[in-house]
Amino acid sequence: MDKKKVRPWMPYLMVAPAFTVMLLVVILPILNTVAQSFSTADGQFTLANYQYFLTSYEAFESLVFTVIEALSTMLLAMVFSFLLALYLRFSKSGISRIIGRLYLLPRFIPGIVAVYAVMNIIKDAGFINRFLQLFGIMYKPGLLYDMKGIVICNLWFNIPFSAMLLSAALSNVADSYVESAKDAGCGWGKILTKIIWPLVYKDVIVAATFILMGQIGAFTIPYLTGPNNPKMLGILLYQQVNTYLDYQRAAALSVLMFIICLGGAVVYIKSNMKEEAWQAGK
Amino acid sequence: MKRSNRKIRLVAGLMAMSLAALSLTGCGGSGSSQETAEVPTVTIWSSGGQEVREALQAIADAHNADPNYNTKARVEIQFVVSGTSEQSLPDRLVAAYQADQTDTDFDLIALDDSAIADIVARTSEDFFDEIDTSKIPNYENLIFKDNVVGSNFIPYRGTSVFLAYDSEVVPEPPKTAEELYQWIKDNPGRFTYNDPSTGNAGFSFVANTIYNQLPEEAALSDDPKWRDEHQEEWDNAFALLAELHPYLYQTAGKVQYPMKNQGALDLLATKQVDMVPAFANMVLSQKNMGTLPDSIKMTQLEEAFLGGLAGFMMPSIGSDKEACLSVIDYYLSYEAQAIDWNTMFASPVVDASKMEGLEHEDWLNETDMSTLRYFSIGTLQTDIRERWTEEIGSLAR
Repeated sequence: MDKKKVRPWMPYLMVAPAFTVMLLVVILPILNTVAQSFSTADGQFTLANYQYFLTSYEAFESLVFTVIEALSTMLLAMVFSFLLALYLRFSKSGISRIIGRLYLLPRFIPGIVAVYAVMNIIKDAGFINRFLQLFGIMYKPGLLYDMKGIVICNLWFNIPFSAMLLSAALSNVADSYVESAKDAGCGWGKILTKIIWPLVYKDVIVAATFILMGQIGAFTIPYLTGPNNPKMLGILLYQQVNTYLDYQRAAALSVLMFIICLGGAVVYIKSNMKEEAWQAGK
Repeated sequence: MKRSNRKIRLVAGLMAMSLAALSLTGCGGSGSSQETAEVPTVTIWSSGGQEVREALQAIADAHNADPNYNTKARVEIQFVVSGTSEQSLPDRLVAAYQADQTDTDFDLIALDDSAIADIVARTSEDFFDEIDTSKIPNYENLIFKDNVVGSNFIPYRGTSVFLAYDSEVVPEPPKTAEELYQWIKDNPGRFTYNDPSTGNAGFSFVANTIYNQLPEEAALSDDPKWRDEHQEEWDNAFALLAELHPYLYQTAGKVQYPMKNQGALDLLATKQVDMVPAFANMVLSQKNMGTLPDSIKMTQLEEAFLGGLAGFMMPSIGSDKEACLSVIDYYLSYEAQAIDWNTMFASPVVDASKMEGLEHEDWLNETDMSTLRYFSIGTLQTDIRERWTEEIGSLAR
């Protein structure tokens, strides 16, 4: 102990660079936004900015639209990615190995390129329409410029993302657990609910909250693939700045969106902190 | 899992390397001319779409290789691409002005005429220097000597919205605004214009509907009286837009206004609509690349859509004024104007019949700028966008 120098300031020094960046680019702008949201253009205190959104039918519609979109994206992405992750974990076939390599690819494709690629497939004169025309069928999918379009594009991004998280979680499920359960006469349903699920459900919640929070502030995808009305909250926010040039209202909407996301963050942190009975006793 | 982690790192590393390689090649272009110590560097600042940057750069490269010009100045292009969350060029100019900087590299700026009033309003009347046109021999070539900004603005490129249509489906396009409105009603679902707050092609359609009802001089004034004292005309125009609304392009069972100028052109390209307002140079570039079919033609209404000029201005905070004049002179030469046409199909501001080596020369007639209708209505633009969003955009549901 004597030989080791005590440097009580060392941890602070190591944290300082990251903390400074956080302070400058995250915390200060948030404080500034909160302050702006309570003021008029000439700096007077007002609640009108909040009143506008809490009483506006358009904003309510946007909120409902965003929540439905976010929940649909989350549910579909989780179901598909959980199935995909299970397949990748437990299938030893060549196809599974190929998929296991390919599914990360979307993470490396620029978002805007991917959105246009998906649009070219699902739009009314897109690939689906043209392919069916070969057989003399004139079918307009009506997917683009609709909530369906936003959800489909988001699935493209979110399935690989959550499948990646879930694959990592599933690697904790040792083959021996599954084999011994099988030896004891468990069917696949039992193994899934009693062995696999308890080991991965936390990661499922983490992935789900990530997706959900991402949707609240989503912009590019709904801007390019969404309907004119109702708008997702991100587009409504953009409109406040771009069309109405009303920065105070935009600030108020940002704060409201922040509060919504906070709900997701609370779920995330709680589920992470919770210690299982079996973990506590080990 | 470990193996795939390593793979991710490998792929990320490869991507970073290829990016670095790209940025290196990006630098290569401008260093080609000889470096003579006495030749002053003139920096042209501009903003807009990628095609504008490429055209400016192509002319700059030709300038720096031309022995008649490269002894007087060396041109460098600084470009702020629109749509990246970068600080806009007007903001940068205003910031430099407010910081009392006097010796900057804002030697020349190249912007649309409609963007100038805002910069002047936020700086001062004499922020831009007067330009002595007698020192610009090629100024004689210029057709558009009158413009909405004034004598300190030298146009180098025209930009104009036309009615783009599919000539296979529409053999005889409308000639007047009335005929266009009737055509829209007779052909439900076959016309569209983009959300006016996402691009000026769509904005032009909306602004035309209002300004066709107002006296001609209204389009050149930012005086709010053209809104406040003419509420009736504005109301009529918006009633007309609402009346046209159900006859516009529909998808997923409802009317949808496409986003951005390109959104409307995409619908035209895939034959989902037959007619849209569009910027001439966008239509021509895309025909040239083959992304728009050859059957797409352009026409202008009797009540022309908005047009404008992009031109040079000389901020007083820049340096080397004489060199700047020589650079402007080059951009007004027939060679430079031909490069501008060949690179981005920019409408020339000189007599096109004297330009040589043009690609698709026949397209020049289609985009005749002689009917250029200036719009300079200042913040009334914002009013139009706001009211459209509230009254017309909200109908699309």
